[in-house]
Amino acid sequence: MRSESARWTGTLLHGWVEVLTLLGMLLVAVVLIAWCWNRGVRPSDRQGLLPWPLFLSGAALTLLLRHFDQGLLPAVIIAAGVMIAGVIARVGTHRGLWIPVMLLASLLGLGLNLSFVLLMLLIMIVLLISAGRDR
Amino acid sequence: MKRGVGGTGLLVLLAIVLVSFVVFAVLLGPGRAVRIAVASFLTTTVDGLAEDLPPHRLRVVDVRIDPEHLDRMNSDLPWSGGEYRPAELVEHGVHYPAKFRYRGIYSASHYLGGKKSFRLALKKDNPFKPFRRLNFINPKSFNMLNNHMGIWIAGRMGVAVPWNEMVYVRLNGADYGVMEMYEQPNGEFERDRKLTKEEVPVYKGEYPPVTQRAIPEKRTLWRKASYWEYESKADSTVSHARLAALVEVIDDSTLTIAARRDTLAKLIDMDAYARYLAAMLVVNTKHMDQFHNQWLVMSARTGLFYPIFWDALLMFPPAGEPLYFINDALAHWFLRIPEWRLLRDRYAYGALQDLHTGGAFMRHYDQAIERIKPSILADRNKFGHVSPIPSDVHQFSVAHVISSFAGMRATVNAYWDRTIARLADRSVKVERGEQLHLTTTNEAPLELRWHSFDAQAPQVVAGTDTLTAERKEGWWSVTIHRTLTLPEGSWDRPFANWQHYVVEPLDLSVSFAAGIPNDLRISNAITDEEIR
Repeated sequence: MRSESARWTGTLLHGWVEVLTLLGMLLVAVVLIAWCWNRGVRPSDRQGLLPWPLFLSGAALTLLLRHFDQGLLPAVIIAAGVMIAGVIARVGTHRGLWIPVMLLASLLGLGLNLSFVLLMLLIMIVLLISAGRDR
Repeated sequence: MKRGVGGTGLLVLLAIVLVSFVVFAVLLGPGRAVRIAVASFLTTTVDGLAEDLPPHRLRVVDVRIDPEHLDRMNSDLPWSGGEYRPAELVEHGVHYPAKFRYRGIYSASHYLGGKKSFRLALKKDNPFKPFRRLNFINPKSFNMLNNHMGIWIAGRMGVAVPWNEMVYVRLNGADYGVMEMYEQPNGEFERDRKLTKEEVPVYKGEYPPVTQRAIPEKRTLWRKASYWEYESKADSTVSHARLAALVEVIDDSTLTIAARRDTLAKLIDMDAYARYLAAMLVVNTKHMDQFHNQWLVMSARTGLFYPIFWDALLMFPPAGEPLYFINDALAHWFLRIPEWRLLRDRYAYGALQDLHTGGAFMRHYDQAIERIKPSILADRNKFGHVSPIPSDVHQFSVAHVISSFAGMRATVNAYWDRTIARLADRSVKVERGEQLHLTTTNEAPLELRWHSFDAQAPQVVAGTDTLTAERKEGWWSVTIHRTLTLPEGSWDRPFANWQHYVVEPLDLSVSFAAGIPNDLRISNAITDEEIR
């Protein structure tokens, strides 16, 4: 009984660390991107480094894709996520970041970490070299 | 969004994470929790970096089975391990009917986690013919090649081994990952190798079959002939009688060494066993023990039993790195027979010269790694023991695999360096007076050679023994075998598990009838290199 419960505890820990790692990776990406976003605007207009609604939406998309990874479902989830993000972006803060972050979250959810890192770097570079008023 | 809120949120998140780790560390113990957490972290971060993969160099095995069957079997593991369900094997678009069963209990890596070991039973006409029963095993080590390389070594040393290949499995159209495929031996073992046209008697020495929902008690295989399961359709009258005789010889502790040697030689293929035990020393494994991982084949040609090297596990060493490890009751007696022991040592040394000094192992290891690499990168379903606790079968990462490759390389090199040094040791103190006095603390036997015109074999008195010289390549020769004992406190019975012999230091006077020959040559009997 004791070893059976320890086995399940081990499995829980493995899954928990996986979730935390994914969220940690997304968190770092969102913070870095938000920092780059803030570089393009005046200090007085800068917003928080961690836009929580954006991060939580991305995290939800990542976890969904981790779970539903077979067949056409991932494509449907990504399409829905990006469309919803597009709608939310029109009313929330960090308007220009919603769709890029959703794409990043999708890559992370699909386990394409290299693409995730490259896209994050690309987004950062674009944000650093573009003026804030154009966003 | 205010910065203050973001900062507080982050702090709350960090606190949750820290508390959760403390809880898991308390529940599982810190070492175990860290290992599982590291495996999970690396799997999530590192494995996803491998994209745009090259094609597999391993054979891809495509297995199809009704998901309902799979679910039913999965829901009752490990007890569903014995039941076969209909399945299909697809090769180049051709669907071959098969029967599928999980391996079930004993090793947790067979039935826990996402990559469960299974067996396919195929019809005669199948892509793997002549083999019809194939095991697909979740590799036990992180490097996945451990067992494969162990079997390769034994095969190269002339030991009978199962057909074995690393493959990439797809199950119901989804990637299942790298597995080790090998033949399940049966009466066709010799026929499949074109050694005979008929089935031969084959016995399996394994844990008892699981018939109820409980793990049966282990049995010491050499205690009873009936503990060996018969796996052949060949007539078993003679083989059963011979196996019973073998069991009796092993159980009888009253026989002299010479009588035991002569009786055993009529029942087992001594040369095959010497190679088998040599392979065990070279592979450095204790995995074939008194209870499992044993096979006996009765040769159609000689009528003698020989073993199959099974589930080798490269570098799964017995404690204390003994030179004479006793893996089972047969080895207990085999290693007591000095000339058989020497033969084993010579096979081991020869193999080490080829594998280690000649570099054959590392060349093959590098080739095997090159072949398996794309498949390991593609395998997102790598499950193994991430801690010493058997039930901790979790996903592990490419980082584990790479580190395990490097670890195995270093371990093999270091172990083989030490073993060669022990077998080839020539540090013997030689004093010549009226008698020859030999002293050493090493473990190797010695050979004395000299020329003489004696027509009759001369006799030499070594300690209290009188040895008769033999003719060898124009020389007279006697071998000074070493005395073996069991470590203090060990139980001197053949059925004691995982024992070993130690070599007594040598302090011996040798007298020659006509005085010490002028051209006396003293050499290490394993390597034939002269003592200086």
